[in-house]
Amino acid sequence: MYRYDEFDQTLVDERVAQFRDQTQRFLAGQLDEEEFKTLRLRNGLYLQRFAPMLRVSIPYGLLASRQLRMLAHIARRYDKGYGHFTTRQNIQYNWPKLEEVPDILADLASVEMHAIQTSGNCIRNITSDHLAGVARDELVDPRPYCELTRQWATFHPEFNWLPRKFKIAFSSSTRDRAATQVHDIGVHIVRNDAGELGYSIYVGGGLGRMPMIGHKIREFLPELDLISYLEAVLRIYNRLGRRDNIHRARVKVLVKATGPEQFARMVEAEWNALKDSNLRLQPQDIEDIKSRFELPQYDEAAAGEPGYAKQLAVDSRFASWARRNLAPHRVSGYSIVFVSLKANGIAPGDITAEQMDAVADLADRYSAGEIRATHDQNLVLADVADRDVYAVWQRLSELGLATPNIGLLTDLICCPGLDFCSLANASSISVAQEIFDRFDDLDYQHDIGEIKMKMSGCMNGCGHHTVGHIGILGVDKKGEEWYQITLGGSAEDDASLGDRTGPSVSRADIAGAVQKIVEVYLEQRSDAEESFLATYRRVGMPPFKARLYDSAETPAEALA
Amino acid sequence: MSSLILADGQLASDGWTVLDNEAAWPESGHVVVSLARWRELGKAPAGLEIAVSIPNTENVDEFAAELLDRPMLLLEIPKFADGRAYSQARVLRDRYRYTGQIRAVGEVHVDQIHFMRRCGFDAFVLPESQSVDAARRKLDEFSLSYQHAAVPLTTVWERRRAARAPG
Repeated sequence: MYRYDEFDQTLVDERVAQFRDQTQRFLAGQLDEEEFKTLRLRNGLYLQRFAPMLRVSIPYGLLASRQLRMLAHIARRYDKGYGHFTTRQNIQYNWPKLEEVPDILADLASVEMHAIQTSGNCIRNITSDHLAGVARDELVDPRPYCELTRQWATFHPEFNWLPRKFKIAFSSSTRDRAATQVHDIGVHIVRNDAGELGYSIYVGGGLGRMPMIGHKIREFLPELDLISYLEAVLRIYNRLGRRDNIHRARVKVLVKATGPEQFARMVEAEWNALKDSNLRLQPQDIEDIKSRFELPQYDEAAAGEPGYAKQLAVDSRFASWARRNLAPHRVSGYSIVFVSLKANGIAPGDITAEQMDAVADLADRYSAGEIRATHDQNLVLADVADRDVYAVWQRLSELGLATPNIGLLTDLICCPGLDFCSLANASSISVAQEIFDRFDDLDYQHDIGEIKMKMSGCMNGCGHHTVGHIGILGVDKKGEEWYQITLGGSAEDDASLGDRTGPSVSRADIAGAVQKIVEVYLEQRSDAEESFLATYRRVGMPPFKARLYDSAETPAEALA
Repeated sequence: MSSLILADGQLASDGWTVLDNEAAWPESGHVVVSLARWRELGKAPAGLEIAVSIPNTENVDEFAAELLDRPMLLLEIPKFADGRAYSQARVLRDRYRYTGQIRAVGEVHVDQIHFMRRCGFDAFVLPESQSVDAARRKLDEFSLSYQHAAVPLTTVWERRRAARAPG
């Protein structure tokens, strides 16, 4: 866990005072709606369908137990007793009162948290691998680099009024678990042939209305040049990004217009003017940040102890959970435990205050006092000794947080949709619920295996539908909710955008359509090991299309 | 009435007259002209002090050389959510070491002037809608900064470096 120093703390405290002043001026009529809107947005505060929505930053998804308890406290005191984890490792509250938001920020600041730049046209929360520090396929822990970048981005005076929002993600492992290629900048921490540490830089990925996979604009950037290079990219974007059309304003549109090679040349020219300035990091800057991370102390004896093998043999419910919700830890004798926020009857990512407190207790007792939020809207207890895994499962089961579905169909990700969001065209939570009901049989889900299903209630794509193995997008057709389906997307190393199946389907038919897609997959796969994605890439769209649109039960819309 | 406020929070009287592109040159005084008119002219007529107002779409690398000797440059902020002038100010200060006044004109908002100052602006023309008292309060809204900026403000990273230096 990164611990603030006095400087970090001073800045979040001063932010609270700043926002309190802005809120008071707005309530006193000294700031108009439009002015206050752009100011509050830089603090994650939206005025939504029913109430304001406040998005709290969780840098690279890492939470200390005392921070999670504070999030629970905020849910109880200022909201309706729950919070919603997002696809960018943050948490949102849907019912805070505007006049109380400064108090919420003060409470957050008391545990080294904030809502700085969680929305607005500025550099957003830096995200990373939810398995950072514990994954077996990791080169180095990416979090100190994320923290450096967070600090550089915080109140950056030059880049607070960009053409559009700007998202940066880091990955340092063989398998990209941070969806870096669908970010404005994706940073891969790598070693070059000489063994030196550095970064490959991807620019111009993104979802939303014009989904694109990022382009690699630099093969290897030396370790100490991270900040100067990011500054060069942002300056080019700030200067040349389109501001005439909000839907053409992301950096991906600029990269597409110039071409990635030309964009890379412009960045390189700007960087050449910056790289030897005081933006160049000193080795000690990185060491300093690293030293502020409190890392878990592992018990060497854990590897020699009996783990949970005995309970696996005698408790089939536990065994079914262990198969899906555990991942191997780089330290032997330890496991990574996924806490599923995808129980039947719950909006994906939602968690109650009581559950938050209980997970914080579990983290203190069994997992080094830390919790991570994932971009699949689940939580992770990353450092559980094998001897404690069964006890953790028992408690998670009591809490309704042990649905054994990580990576399966019902571990779908989903935006708030029409139920909460003023942008949405269609509901997504109720569709998620219907899909849950159809696939509630876990044996059947296990048989289907890993499918990433992602759903958005509108073209803004907060549910990342374009990179879902199965993607669902809610659209409005003359006041009715319809759904477009895409197949074959992926946000991992083999990142790709899904292909549209054809005309959209109605609200009544969408869950049935997903079932047909799954049936076609089960018939077409070469064996139980061939994943949905691999099968789709092998057989292509025709068998899926045939099943979806040939049946009278699924009346396709006349005009695509 | 708009007000002119300086980086130290003091109100200043504005001795500059904005000259329309079609207006005749006065014989003496301090005038502000558009970049287009400056380029037609090429150099300052005798007896006149000339400052140049620059649209935020202009690339500093393409105009800096011809304007570095101007006593004042005005960077135009057509909408307060349009951040291009911030980059222009930084490049003028950091890359070209421009030492004259950089004045923010247009939709200048009190909640932004702290950040403008860090980018190198040192004078702000506040529209009538903006409170001078609020502007004074806001100039020093944050006591620290992570980033290197045009104003001599010791950054958090520099403070950390100093704190770990021996002795």
